[in-house]
Parts: sequence; C-alpha cells; structure tokens
Amino acid sequence: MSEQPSSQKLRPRTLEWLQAESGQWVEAGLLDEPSRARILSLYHTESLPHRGTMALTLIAVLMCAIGVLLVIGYNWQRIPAAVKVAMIMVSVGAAFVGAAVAYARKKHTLGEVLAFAGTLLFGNGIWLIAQVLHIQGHFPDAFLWFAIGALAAAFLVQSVAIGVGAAVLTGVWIFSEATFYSHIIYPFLVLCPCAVWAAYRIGSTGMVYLLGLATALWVGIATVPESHLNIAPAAVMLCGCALYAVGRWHDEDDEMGHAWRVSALGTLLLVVIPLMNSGFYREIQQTSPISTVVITLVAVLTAASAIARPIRIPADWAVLVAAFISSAWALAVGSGLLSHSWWLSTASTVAFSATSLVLCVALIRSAFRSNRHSDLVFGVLFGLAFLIVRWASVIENLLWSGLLLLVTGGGLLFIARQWLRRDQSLLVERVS
Amino acid sequence: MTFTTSIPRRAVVAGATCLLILAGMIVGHAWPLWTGRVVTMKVVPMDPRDLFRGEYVHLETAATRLYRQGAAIPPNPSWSSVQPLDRVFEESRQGSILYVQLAPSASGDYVPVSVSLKPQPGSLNLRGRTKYLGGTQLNVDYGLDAFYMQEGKGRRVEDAIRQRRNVQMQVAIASSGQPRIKTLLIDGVPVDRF
Repeated sequence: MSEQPSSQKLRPRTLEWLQAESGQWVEAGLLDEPSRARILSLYHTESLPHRGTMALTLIAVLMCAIGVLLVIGYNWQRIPAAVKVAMIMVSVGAAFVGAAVAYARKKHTLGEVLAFAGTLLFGNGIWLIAQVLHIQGHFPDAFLWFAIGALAAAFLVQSVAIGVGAAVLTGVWIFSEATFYSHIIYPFLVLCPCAVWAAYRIGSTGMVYLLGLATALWVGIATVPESHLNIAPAAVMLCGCALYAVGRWHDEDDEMGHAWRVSALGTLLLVVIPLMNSGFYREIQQTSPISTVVITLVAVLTAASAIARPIRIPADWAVLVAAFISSAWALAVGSGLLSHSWWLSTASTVAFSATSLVLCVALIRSAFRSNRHSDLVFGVLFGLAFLIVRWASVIENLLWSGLLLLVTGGGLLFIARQWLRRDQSLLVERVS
Repeated sequence: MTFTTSIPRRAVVAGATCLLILAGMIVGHAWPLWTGRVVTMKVVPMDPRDLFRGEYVHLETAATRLYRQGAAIPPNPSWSSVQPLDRVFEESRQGSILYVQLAPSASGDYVPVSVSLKPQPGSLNLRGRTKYLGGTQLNVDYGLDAFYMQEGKGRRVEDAIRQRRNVQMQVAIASSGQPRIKTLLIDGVPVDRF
C-alpha cells in the first residue's frame, strides 16, 4: 500500500495563488478537475486564529522573559557571587537541554533557535563570570573561548547560523588582538583549520567567506610592523591570491570554491587601495622578520598552486598576475633593489595600479564569459577603486576630474547595457 | 563524517562543552585563590580621571610601573625601582611574559625588588605581561587593574584613594606567579564591609 503523502504547509497567499492558477489550468484544458483537487489536497495553510494564538503566546513568553531579566537585573548586586555563577551556568545548560528536547520532538527550527540562544548565553556568561569573579585577563581571550564554544555547538548541532556566528567571533578575536600590538596569533593556526573543517561539514559558505577574511586579517597582524613598512603588504596581497587558489582547488560550480574566491577578491580589493598610493611607501625598511618571510613564502606557494588546474577564465590569469607582481615587489624590497624612495614609490604605485586595472578588466570579462555575478561586482569595484585613488591625485584640476568622472560613468553605463543584453540573449536562448 | 549519535545527544554535548569552558574559566580563576600565597600590596594613587570606569575601580600597585635600578628617577612617585636579574629590559617585547620578585617592605606591604624573564626559585614571583617598554621603563599588566564593585561603592574607594588613605589589595599568588585579587582593604577593612 502506498503511503499517503503528508500535506505541505503554504502561506495563505501562495495557496490562494495556486487555487486561482490551477482553476485557470482546468479552464484551459491543461488539467482535469480531479487532478486539480488531488494537487490542492497536498497543500494546506494555517488558519488565522491559530496564528493569532501563536503570536499572543510568543508576545507573552517574550514579556515574561524580559520581566524575569529585569527583576534579576534589579537584584543583581544583592545576589551572592556563587548564586550568580550558578544562574549563568543553569541558563546555558537549560537552553541546550531545551534544544535537545526540541530536536527529539522533531522541532528542528526551535532546537536550532534554542541552541543559538544557549551559545549567546554562553558568551554572555564569559563576561558575567569575569565580572563576578574579578577576572581581568587578556580580553581577546574571551572572544577566543566564545568562538571555540560556538564552533563546537555549530558543529555538533549542524547549525549554519551558529557557525556563521563562530566565524564572526573568530574575526572579532583576531581584530581585538590587533588592538594590542602586531604579533603572530598562534592559536589561530589551530582554530582556523578546525573552523574550516566544521564549515565544510555544515556546508556553510558564509563561514568560509568570513574565515577567508579572518585569515587575511591574521596575516596582516602577523606581518605588518607598527613603525615602518616592509614586505608585509605583499604578504597580505599574496594571502588574497592564496585564498583564490584554494577556491580553484574546487570544481568550477562548487559553492565552497566560490566562497573562497569571493573572500580572496575582497581581501585583494582592501589591500590594493593603499598600495596604489605613492605616500604609502614613505617609510620602508629592507629588513623583515623571519616570520614575515616564512608567511610570505607559504602564501606564494599556495597562490602558485592555482596553476595545478587548467586556467579557464581571465580572472584566474589576473590573480596569478597579481601574485607575480606582489612576489616581485616583495623580492625587490626585501633584497634592497627598490631602496631609493622615488623609484620605490613610483614603481610600486604603477605596478599595483596596473594590478587593479588588470583585475577589473579580467573580472568583468570573466563575469560575461562564465555568468558569475560576483566577478562583475568585484570587477566594477576594482575599477572604481583605481579611478577613485587616481582621481584623488587630480582632484584639484577640474578638467581632469570632470573627464575622469565622465569616462567612469560612461564605462559603467556600457557595462550595465552589455550585461542587460547578455541577460536578454540568455533568456531567448533558454526559451528557444 | 557521519554522526553515529542523535542530534538531541549532540545538543547536550554542545551544552556540556560550553559549560566545561565556563567551568575551566572558574577553576583557572580560583586556582591561585585556593593554592596561592596571600600578600597585601599597596594601591598607589593614579590619574583620578580614569579611576572609576563603569562598575569597576581601576587600580595600580607599586609593581605596575617599573624602572631600572640606577636610572634617573621619574617624577611620578608611583614608579618602583627594580633590579633586572637578566636582560629583561633589553629582550622584553610588548606582550611578552616576565616575572617580578616581591619582598615585604617595612610597612608589611609587598613591593617589587627585581624583575626577570624567568621565575626565580625561592622568591615570590608575580607573573605579568609587558604593556609598555621604554628603554629603562616597563609598564606591566598583571590582570590586577580592575575590581568590580557594587553600584555606588566604587566612588567610596575612589575617594579613599584620592584622600591618600591606606588602600591595599589582598592578592593570592599561585606558585606559577599567576595572581588573583582576593579583596580590597581600606584602612585594613575589607571593601565589602566598608
């Protein structure tokens, strides 16, 4: 005996649309009435009174929860430290036990919401316990432990939302470490691979995107010295190229590969803007610590791994060109070949401006060729970054400024028109 | 990887992981209090604009700002002269760990006498991180610079420090050098009874 398929819940508007449309299909002879009735019986919608009750219940629960928090808050100073700690621990435990119960009852959304709430309570608990027990440690460590807990929770309950939260916390942790001083944050070398592995297990592209950016930030903090400039900008640029290469290790249509490429292009865009300014190269030193050299070499090797797979689109070539220019720059600065300030600033400005233009053109061409919207966005952004930086150098000359803006506007209009035409021709192709 | 355990059990494990981290934090904090040697250190007067921040009192002790023995004495009386036992002034970097050796003063409060990159056997070592390094000067962070107060009480501690009353910090120092504030004393009276 075949099992009766369960009825699927639809929004009232969607069900109304289906009823009206299916009525027209019957009139047009596309469908007979019994078939229409069978199709409609597969769907249902919630009655308004039920939704109203749900809304009232939710408001009541929310008000009670806020009330409880306010009462606790009012008496917080009077509560003994041990009770405060117990309250924090019990709230975290209760949220996760609630999540477990919800999952057991097949209420997965509620389970995920409760697990997310438990993770937030856990993070809140770190700061509250620190306050209650007068713990005054290295404050970025709080973000590190919050990220570890969130990552474990995300992996265990397979939650994309908690996973993205954990990736954001990893970035916040690295950023808060940066507020102290430039140094190598070693725990990241363990946490990041674990987080990437969890991202693949959960299937979260958002996590991959954020972790890529966090990696670039880590390279920046590990290499950029406080008082002068050395080969560090090239290390960050090469990190962007390496992230792109990691994206290319995946298949062409793989979403994870796409996430790596997007974080790579985001990194390159952020780094290339200061590198196009000649003033950026004022205080440069030949010497770089061995750790900076090692990180740069790892980035070069990873970026070079992109050639292991066949290069199909212009963007792949452009990123390789960016990696080559960054490596050459690092070599020239590190070896002292580019030590004269005028030569250094001129050659560097020209090289990285050209890199930005190459990336702009190649990404726009790739977007047209392989239907990647993100490539179009980044292509336009690289072009705009180039034009804005160069405009800053001619801003006092109204004629040049006007011409530059006219060319930019014209170029953007041309790209928009071409993209529209391409969309229309694709539509025609599909219909035919 | 395919999970062999069900998702409700995994949710419980996730909760247990979070609770374990919180418990570790509590034990890590309590360890010096359970096992450490309790000493008192005098709280030194400091910039009053920055003293009371939100719900906690910002504190400094004689071990916060150090300068090399024999160097020109800075105008601030809260700086302490210490003898370097190794190349700590040369090799210390921002964020690096160092150890300050404490000894009791005539008043009974513990004060810094020497500083080194490694703990010194037989001495009471206070573990800290270099916050600022300037040739012959060292600013050290021990995690002792904040004491959370009940709303309204922080102002009283601030006034006591301003009025140059005897404000002391009771600190438990573990054998590893890790310190924890036990309480604040104003004229010998614990601040919670003040």
